[in-house]
Amino acid sequence: MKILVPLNDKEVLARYINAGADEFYLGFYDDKWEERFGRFTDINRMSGFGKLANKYSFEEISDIIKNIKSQGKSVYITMNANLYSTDEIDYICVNYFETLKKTGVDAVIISDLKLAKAAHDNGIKTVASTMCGIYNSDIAEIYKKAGVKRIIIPRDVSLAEIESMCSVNKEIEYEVFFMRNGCVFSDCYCLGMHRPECGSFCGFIKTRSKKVFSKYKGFKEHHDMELNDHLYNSFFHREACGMCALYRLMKSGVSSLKIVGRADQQEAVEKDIVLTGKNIELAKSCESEAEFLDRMLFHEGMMKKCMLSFSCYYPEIRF
Amino acid sequence: MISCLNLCEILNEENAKKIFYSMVEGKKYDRIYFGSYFCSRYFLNINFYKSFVKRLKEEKISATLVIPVFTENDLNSAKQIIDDIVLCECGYIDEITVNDEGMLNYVKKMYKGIRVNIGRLLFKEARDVRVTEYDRQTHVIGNSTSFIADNTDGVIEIDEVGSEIVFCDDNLIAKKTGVHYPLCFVTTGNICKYASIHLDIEKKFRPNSKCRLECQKIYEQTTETMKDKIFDFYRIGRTVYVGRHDRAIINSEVERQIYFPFFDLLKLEG
Repeated sequence: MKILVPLNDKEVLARYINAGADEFYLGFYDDKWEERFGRFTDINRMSGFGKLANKYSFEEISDIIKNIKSQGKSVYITMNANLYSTDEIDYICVNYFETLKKTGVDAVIISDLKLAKAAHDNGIKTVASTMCGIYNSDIAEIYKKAGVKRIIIPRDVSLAEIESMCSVNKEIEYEVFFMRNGCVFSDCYCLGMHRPECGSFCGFIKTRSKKVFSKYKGFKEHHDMELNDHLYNSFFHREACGMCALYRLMKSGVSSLKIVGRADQQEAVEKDIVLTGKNIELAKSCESEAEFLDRMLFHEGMMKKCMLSFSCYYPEIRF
Repeated sequence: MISCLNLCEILNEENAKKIFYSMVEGKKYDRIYFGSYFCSRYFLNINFYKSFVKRLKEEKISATLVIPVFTENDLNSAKQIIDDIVLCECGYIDEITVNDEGMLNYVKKMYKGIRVNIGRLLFKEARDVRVTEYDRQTHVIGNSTSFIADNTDGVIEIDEVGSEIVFCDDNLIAKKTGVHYPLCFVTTGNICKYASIHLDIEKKFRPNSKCRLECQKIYEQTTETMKDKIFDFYRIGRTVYVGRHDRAIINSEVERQIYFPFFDLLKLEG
């Protein structure tokens, strides 16, 4: 079981590897792409945040990929924008794929079946992004047939469902969200823009005043409705963590645990890598889930996050 | 132009009769869409589909069954329900709308001769009225959908986004298009805020949690001015929509308008 982390600063690579990271994912910017397709046409899901989220140019990441590979680690490049036009895929093939193949990149993370085909035609392996919305085994089967080597399961899927998907299509690798950021909607169906000038759509809708129209009557129903709204807006998925699910994820055959947060503090990501690594080793030595849950390690102060399950990717484990 | 009424997510046992009297009888609409785009839990909770289809058949109004994306736990039971609906009334339903690649494959394999539409969840171009410059530019609809559309003979269903919509390749341009209005979906997911209203705190906000169709009793509206325009956002069930009043120019044949009568229904229900 591998630990996958975002790499937004090449200076932190050695620290992350020392902490226990096995795999890295990163995106890049390309001024020529923007000149040609416009500033609202993304190369990857985080392109809207420009160089804040994708610090390096394509030329620079080529060197970073080689560096990561030279240290025996895996590296994935994000090309998971909402969609790509025919011209954009042609551009990607001509300007990126040939070079990427030479770097020895492990795969590109794609959001689009046509882009997957283009990558395979150019000899590059693919990972199906959470943007593909692979919520069940039937959808997984389509992507398997399209040749993807790994599927990233969306954040809003239960642990039992992950276990089931892993057991149906065993030939494929699965990656799951594991630490740091949750999402109250589905990544793949959230079509609001993520950009500095507007922020996320969920953040926008949560913080604006609203009128509520309901057929509820009486104190209790109104109280329940207001409380529900308050908890959702104030506490739900401010952070996210799947540590308690580690044992079952390991047993189900999940290949990779994804720590997200390209813009997060490096020290915090590093601490998560260390803790995840320790708990993987612990899980290997446990005879049962109960034993793991009893012995697993937490960060100092982590229990605050655990309260009421609002930061859990997989709340069904403890709650 | 085919006039369609989209009753997905808003049809329930209480309002079905009123809908028939005021919207369906007399053939104000050529085709009724029912089922769900966005919520598998709604789809599984509704248990009067067969009687609804029977009524549509009596009125000689065409019916399109809309199938949402199911998560792994619900997939097999959903297929059984779909089978029951599709085969009822001697196979009166002549059209199915799917919203994921797996269901497209399944429906094509299982129900030969039924037209299969590509649903609005398979179109993922960004739509965001908060970024005015983007909102007012041409929206390109991309390749992945074209790849899927290669495999169908049905309608391509899109939301009303921006001022101009351009399909980026000939496969899509050649298809007939249906446009959803007046609400354009912006975001959705498996976590329903309303479904948690009656749940204990520690059980709230779980993906695809069982519900009491709370979505039929509550919705939220947020009004914002973006530059010189006022926009209304609505959280209905799991989905947030924005109201769109302008019709976009599209580079393909728009065969049908698919109207979502959410506000008409509120008036009907008093």
